[in-house]
Amino acid sequence: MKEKIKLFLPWINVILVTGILISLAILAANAGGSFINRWVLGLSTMGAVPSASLLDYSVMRAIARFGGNELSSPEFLTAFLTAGTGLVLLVIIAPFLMARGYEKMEKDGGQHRGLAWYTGSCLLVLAISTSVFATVASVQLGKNINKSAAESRSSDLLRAELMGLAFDAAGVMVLPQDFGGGHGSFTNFSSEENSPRNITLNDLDSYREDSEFHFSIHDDVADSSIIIVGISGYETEQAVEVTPHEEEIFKVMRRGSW
Amino acid sequence: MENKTLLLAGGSVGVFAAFSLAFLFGDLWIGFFAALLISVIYLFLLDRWMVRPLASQKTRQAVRVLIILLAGFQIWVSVLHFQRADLQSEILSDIRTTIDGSISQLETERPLHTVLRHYHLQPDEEDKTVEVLFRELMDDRALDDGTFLSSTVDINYDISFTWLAASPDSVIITSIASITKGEDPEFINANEQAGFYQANAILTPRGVRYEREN
Repeated sequence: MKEKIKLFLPWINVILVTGILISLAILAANAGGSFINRWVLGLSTMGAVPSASLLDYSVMRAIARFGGNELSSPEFLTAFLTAGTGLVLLVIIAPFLMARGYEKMEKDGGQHRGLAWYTGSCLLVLAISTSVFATVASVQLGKNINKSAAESRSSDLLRAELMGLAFDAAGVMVLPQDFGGGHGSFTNFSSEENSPRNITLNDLDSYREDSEFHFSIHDDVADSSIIIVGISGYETEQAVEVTPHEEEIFKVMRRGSW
Repeated sequence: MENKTLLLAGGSVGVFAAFSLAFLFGDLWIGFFAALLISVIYLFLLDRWMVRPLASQKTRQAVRVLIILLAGFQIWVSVLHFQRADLQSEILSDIRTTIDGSISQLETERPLHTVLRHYHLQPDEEDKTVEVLFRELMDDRALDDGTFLSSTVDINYDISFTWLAASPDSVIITSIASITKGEDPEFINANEQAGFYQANAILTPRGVRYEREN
């Protein structure tokens, strides 16, 4: 039993030291201000997951481009140096030091692993444990981002299609009946029976029955206004009130107000 | 310098040299994945030169398991980070396109619908053309040099608007974004820039059409 514990003692030490290092980094990041926080997290990231600094850079660049700007060269260089140094430390130096330690141990007859082994092993355990954590977190986060992005995209598309229908409705409402319009009224469209009828979705050029959204015109059709409702597959509902005789033409309605 | 130290130095220099491709292509990820490839080659050489000669089989296995775990998780998490960076960039770009598309459609269609309404509801004896009504109603926004001012001049939308009377019964308002890219990067915009979002709102007596050109 004692022999087994002796065999694993160096690894227990390595795991303890790594745990203490991670705890210290988290404590320092939480205790310090934003400047310290940034540096501690930056160094920890560099020493554990080099690609994280590239992810940071890519997101910052995307945000800058969103506002019509470009990131400066120093940001590019900082991400390059951080990720490059991290990669060399973890994938080049750490395994080398551990292998050196084992060489030394075999030369010494299995007695002393030396500082090189401890340094290399600590770095390897740190890198493996944090990259496992980062992988699990990334998979989970990726799923959440995909889900919310799809919902957001669907909502944006629904709003855009509603806007197109609202403009179409405003346009066709003022057209003369000869042009298929309502001559200034939503209740004055010509029908085959020669009696006036209310506007329908089929009067709108941009209405497609095969749209991924379900649209309808609210039952309460007035002379000068209608409400068009759209429902997406995510069960979000949006509506616009079309008022062609007013300057704003249409307005987006608050949820539940129709 | 002994061979093993040369391996260490060579691996470090090789990683930075491969990563430097980032400067050539202007893309950090290309360089990073090239550096990862060099790292895997280095780990293979490390195994041949330093791990395989170790006497203890258990030690060799332990080192190899750790190296495989290290390389495997670093590659996996790097791919995940790359995909996330790409996705977030795409999401932000989509949001910007949606915002610019909506602003463009609102700012161009709304005034044209006002003109359309006046055109069809004008008394029979007036009989003004679309162009005449547009000039009258949009007097403060449609400038003589072809510029069309947005409804909120104090907000910079990063979109420029121009207007053109194609005929007495047709007016076109064109919107060109200065940040949002269009679908075709080689599309030549009306202002002679290339690849930006561009759309036309076209008014005729039959209605208003909104057409995205790029």
